[in-house]
Amino acid sequence: MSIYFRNQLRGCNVVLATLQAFSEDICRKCIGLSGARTKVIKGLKKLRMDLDESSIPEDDKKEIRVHIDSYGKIANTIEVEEECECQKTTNNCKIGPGCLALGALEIMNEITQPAFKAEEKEVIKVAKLLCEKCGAEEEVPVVH
Amino acid sequence: MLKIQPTSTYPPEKGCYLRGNDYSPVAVVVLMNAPYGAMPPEVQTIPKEIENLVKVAIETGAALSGTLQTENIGIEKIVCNIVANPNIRYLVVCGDEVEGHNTGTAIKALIQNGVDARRTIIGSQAKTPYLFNIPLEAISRFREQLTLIDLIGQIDPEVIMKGVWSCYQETPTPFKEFMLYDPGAYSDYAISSSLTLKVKHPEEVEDWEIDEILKGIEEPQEPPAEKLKKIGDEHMKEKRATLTITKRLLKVTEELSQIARLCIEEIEGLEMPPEDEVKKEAVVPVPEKVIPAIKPAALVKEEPEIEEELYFANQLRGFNGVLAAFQALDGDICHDGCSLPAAVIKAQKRLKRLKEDIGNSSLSEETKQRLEGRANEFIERFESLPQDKSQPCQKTVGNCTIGAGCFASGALKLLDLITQPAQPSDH
Repeated sequence: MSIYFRNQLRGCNVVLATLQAFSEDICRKCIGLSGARTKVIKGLKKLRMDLDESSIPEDDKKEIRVHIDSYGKIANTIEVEEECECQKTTNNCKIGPGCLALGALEIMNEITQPAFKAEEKEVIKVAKLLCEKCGAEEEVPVVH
Repeated sequence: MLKIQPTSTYPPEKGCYLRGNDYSPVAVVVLMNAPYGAMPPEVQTIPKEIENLVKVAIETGAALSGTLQTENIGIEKIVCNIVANPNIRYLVVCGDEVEGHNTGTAIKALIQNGVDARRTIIGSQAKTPYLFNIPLEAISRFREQLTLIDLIGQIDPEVIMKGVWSCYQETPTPFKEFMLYDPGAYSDYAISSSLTLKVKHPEEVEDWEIDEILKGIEEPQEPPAEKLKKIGDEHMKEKRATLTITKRLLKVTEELSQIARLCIEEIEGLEMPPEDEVKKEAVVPVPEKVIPAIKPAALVKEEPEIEEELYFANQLRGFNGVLAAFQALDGDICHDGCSLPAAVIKAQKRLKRLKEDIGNSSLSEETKQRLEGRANEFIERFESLPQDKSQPCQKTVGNCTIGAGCFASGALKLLDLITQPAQPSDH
């Protein structure tokens, strides 16, 4: 299951590089970039939480944690001005209705496999159903 | 009819509203479906028709009348202002629904259903209907104190006037499906509360974060009346001492600011180090197999005035992002695959075409040179990326396990986000 985390990190690497590139542009003072950066930081935080809760081997966890922390640091170095406004509203960004910063986040949507959480939830659901049928109170099996 | 004096701080929250008769039983919320909040102060204007509705309501006799945009902080401010005045018994919500926020349905759902244990408005269609910054007591009072007059979608001033007028009649007056009259003040004390702002950006809160946030929001235990009195007495005794200390602190602050001023002058007098030394980037530890996000060359900061130039500047802006993504992917397994080279070649072709278009454009020679220079810089960077399409697909060899998607193609899609201005016609 560590593949799930590794894939997420691979996507994160690309998104971070792209956001850094946009931070050199008018996006630096844009709420779009600011929001995208926050999303990445939060996404990494959530990934760390999921990692802690996962049943993957401790050595793998350690290695992945290092990567997550490192990306977290990179995300925090993306320069965004303190007072941000949508640059379309201020008439600086004239690329149309699209938003490059939010578009960069879309790269994460290329990752569709493995659906780590969904699988785990499904197994838990099945396990609960089984217990309800037999009436026994058994622990939910750990998913590997 | 019983009327109560609102709290001394009423209305506790600032906002975009007008204050009318404090003893009126009705407040009016005009939903603002306009990009007000994001505009710079010098151009911040409320659309005329919305402003007119706000004015009409206050002139007809509302206690408060203002606009509402956000489904979290906006609603929290309204709750605080209304529970501070028990005379307000009706809330008229009118105007077009706020696109994206769904604030109208959120305030309606709040009055009808309240909030759940996660401080989320039950049954709201809004994206982030979280009320983290106000006490639960205020929310519950808000719901008990008010009757909602749902006029969402209504922008006719005549209808709003009739609604407001009906609310303060002494005898039941029919208005739409309601029978409205002034029932007098709510039979309990006014609640003085203001936003804690423990969560300044509720719009950024993700669902999985809520439990953690809630841990940091502790409902203050209401001290009993005797305890409050005691605190008050002690406070009065200490008031004089506090005043003296505050005065001294003020003096210290002034002295410190003088010192700071002197320091600034001294530093400014020193010779500044070269810019290269100043702009040294913090070194970020890079994990194995991962290329750090590369900082590309800075682009133009000023937006071109001429549409033709803007077209090229915008396109180059997109290429900048794509390049950064490709360079990051080059440090990954994509380096040995076929998709990255294919995407690189595609982008390169488009960039070369763009460079030709710049050359053929009617822009001044100086502008052309500048834009072509930037395009050349990008072309050079593209050339350093993998071009060999004969390499095996990393999905086929089992290295890429992300599913059917592809990072390189995904990055290329960034260029499609740039839709304006239209490509200038060929010269």
